[in-house]
Amino acid sequence: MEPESLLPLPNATFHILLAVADEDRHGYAILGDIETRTNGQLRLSAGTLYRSIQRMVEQGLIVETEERPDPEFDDERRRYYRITPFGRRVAKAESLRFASLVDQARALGFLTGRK
Amino acid sequence: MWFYQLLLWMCPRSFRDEYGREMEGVQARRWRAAKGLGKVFVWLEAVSDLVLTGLAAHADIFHKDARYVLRTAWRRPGFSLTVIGVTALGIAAATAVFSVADHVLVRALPFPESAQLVKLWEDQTALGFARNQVSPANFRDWQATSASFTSMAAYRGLSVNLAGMGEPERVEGASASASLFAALGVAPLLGRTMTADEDRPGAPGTVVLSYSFWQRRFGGDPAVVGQRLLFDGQPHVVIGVMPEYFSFPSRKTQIWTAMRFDAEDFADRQNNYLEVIARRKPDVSLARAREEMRAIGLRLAAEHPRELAKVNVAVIELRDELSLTAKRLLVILIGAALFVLLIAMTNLASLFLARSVARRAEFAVRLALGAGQPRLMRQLLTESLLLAVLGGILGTALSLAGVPLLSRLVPTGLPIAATPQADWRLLLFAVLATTLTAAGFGVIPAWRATRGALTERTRIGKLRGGLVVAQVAASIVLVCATGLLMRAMWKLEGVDPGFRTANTLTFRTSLPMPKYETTGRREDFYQRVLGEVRQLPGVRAAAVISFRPLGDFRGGMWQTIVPGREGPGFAGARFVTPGYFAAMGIPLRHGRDIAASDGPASQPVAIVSESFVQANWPGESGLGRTFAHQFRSPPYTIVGVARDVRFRGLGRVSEPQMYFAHAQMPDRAFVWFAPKDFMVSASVDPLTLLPAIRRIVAQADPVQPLSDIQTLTGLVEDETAARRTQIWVIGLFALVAFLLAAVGIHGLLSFAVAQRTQEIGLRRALGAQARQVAGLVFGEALTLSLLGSVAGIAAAYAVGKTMEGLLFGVSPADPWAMGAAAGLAVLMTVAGSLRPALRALGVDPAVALRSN
Repeated sequence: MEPESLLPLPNATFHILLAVADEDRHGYAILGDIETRTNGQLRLSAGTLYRSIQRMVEQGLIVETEERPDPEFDDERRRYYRITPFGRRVAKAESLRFASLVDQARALGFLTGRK
Repeated sequence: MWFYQLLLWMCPRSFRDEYGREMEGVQARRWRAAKGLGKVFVWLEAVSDLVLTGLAAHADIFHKDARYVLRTAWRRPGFSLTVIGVTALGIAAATAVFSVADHVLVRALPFPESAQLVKLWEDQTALGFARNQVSPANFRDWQATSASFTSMAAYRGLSVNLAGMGEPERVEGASASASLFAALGVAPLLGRTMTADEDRPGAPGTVVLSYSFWQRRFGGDPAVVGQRLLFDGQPHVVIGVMPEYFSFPSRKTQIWTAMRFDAEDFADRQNNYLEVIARRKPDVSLARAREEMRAIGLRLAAEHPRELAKVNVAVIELRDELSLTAKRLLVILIGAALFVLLIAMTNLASLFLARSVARRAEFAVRLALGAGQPRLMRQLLTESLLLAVLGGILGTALSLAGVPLLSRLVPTGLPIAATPQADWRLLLFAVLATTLTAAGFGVIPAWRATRGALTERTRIGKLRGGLVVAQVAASIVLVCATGLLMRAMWKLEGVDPGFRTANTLTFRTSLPMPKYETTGRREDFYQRVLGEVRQLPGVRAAAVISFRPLGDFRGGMWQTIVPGREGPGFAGARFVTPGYFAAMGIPLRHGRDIAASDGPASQPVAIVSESFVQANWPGESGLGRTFAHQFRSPPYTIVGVARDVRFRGLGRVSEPQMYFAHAQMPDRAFVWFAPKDFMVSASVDPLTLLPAIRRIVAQADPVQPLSDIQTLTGLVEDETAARRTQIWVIGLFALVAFLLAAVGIHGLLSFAVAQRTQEIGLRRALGAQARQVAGLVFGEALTLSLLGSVAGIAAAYAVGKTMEGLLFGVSPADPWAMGAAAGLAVLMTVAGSLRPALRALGVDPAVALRSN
């Protein structure tokens, strides 16, 4: 499947991909990461998170890992998610889409005021 | 947290199993992290989150399943189309018939608290009339002495000439006591209804218009209130207009005027012509009201022993005024629709059973690959639901199109709309039927198939065989019922009404009173019109009579007094002009017709029917005998005896008749019986005479309208119209049932042949002849259809017994109907097993054995 066929990504999906980009995380950690990165502006609900995760697993963007990177604090109900190579390609494609949008916005002078 | 776990049930099971615990963990952490009022917020958020997530997750699954189902359906269009078509037929038949039946039999009449409305009749069961009209004196006394009712009103049919605004028109209406509108509890749309003042003799004439009359004649102009209309030459001021839905006593009623009684109206307690309606007090039961009226009836009988000796009061709910025939027609249709539904359902069950067997391998693989059994069930439910919904939509559309065709089954005599409105009840019924179909016939076989417990083929085969037997039996019942009803209709149509119907035209000129209250005045009008009509080319004979046969005005039954005979007799009374019997082709058995010489000054004469003579002077010709009737003492001499005719309809033998000479009618007496129905017999198509006849009547009286223009042939056809509609519908149902049963047989046998391919191949390899293989298939088909036929014919006989009242003497065991049904069953069997048999013959032993 071509990464472009999934674009544009739903907001939550893109954020989840970013959250698991550098390390495997469990659900609650993903929520925390997103909240930190957006300065608390994006606060996903549990339902939205797990419905997104379910779809992303089906689409092959992420996988559930067998390893437990943080065994000390681990409890059995935690499941960790890892980005797949395909997930990376999709995240990259989405980032490029954003970048191109930003370029267009800059060319039209929307970003000059902030510089 | 138990609350959160509860909320999680809104999500699909697969989602819950997978992520429920994780979500619980997230919720617990958020709860711990929140402070004070924030904890409440966390909970509110959780509730809305789980509702939305649940819906979305269900929608996801449905979307996926639906795509899968549509793909499979596309690959097996035969199965899908059959399921959709069968569901549609079953639902269409049932909803169409139920919506008509609900409209006529069940739904409340369109009046507030309509269950409290009753009709009151004089109960003269002892004299042979269980429900007789009421005399004004009895009505007055009932109204004054009863305490069970909030109001009681009397009314009677009215038919007046409207003149002075364009073409003169005959208007059907009702004259009613002022309390009628209060009793029905309906307020006018415009203006007001009658007040008690207007019931008094001499009060200025007023009229309330129906919505349709107002629209038709006044274009819905609100300024109509206060206008003056001329009815029968009498001025009437329009005081109000009723709402659109209001029709009473029947759909034909266009106007209502006040009913007035003179002192002399109360003199005779046997002058029965009023219909009486009353509204029960809310706290008085029907039984209580009956009890009270019975007591009042007994008291009146004691006070007037001569007139009311055997007369009491019948109190009947207005809803139950429906004629027995109309009710029976509908009940039979309901039964037929249920049979179609039953056949459709068994067909679906059989289809899904076969499919579940065929897909067992697929299910086994998917279960082995880890698909949960509930997940598989859910997908199968989606599949049957989708197909059933498509079938339901198609079926509902069919029934919406079909309902207007059934409107002939809605009796005109009820104050309800002509066509049932499609409303939420119909839709609810369709939705319920669809869902039950889906659940019952999609899920149960699927459940059995996915249980993994491989159901034995033979058991499913037997079950399907049983279903086919049921289908054959049910379709036999429908065909037998159709056959019986058709035979009954042919018999009814074959009834000799006693008069000639071909090329005879009838039309009505109701002469208004008091303009025509003298006999001489009317006689002038008749003679002028009849004289000129008879001159028209093609006219053979013409005459006028009080009430024509097969008409809605039945006239009345008069008491007859025959010298030397104990007790009163009853006979129908009619006044005629000379030539009536010739115009109607009614043979005179003895004596002569009424002649022009039978005038006011000569001896009063009468012609009576054969049954009248038979009842009074058995074995005699009756000529020269004399008798009197309750309204006149000088005796009439019988100068002629006419053949009996069917006045009240083809299906009923009429009471004895008396025909009197109109010229001998006393002035201003029983003017209701003044002749009004012209009968014109012609040698050409009588409708071609109509323009000339209109001209002649207009010349004789320019403001006199013609109404009720009909040919006698048309009248006879109308007699059987409701039956024809019913037979048409049941016949259609029977056809559908037969097709479905044939489909059932075909499906079962195709399946059996497919399952037994190897066995058949082996038999062929071992030397079985084509004849034997075909015999195998046909033999099974024949067994099933024989079992079905036997059960069906037995059931058909039982069904026929219950509708004997409609069969007009045709036996429920009619050999023609049963023979036809059995013949069709054989035909259906052959048709259904032809293709499977051919397929069995086409089995190549080598291929069949190699595939093993």
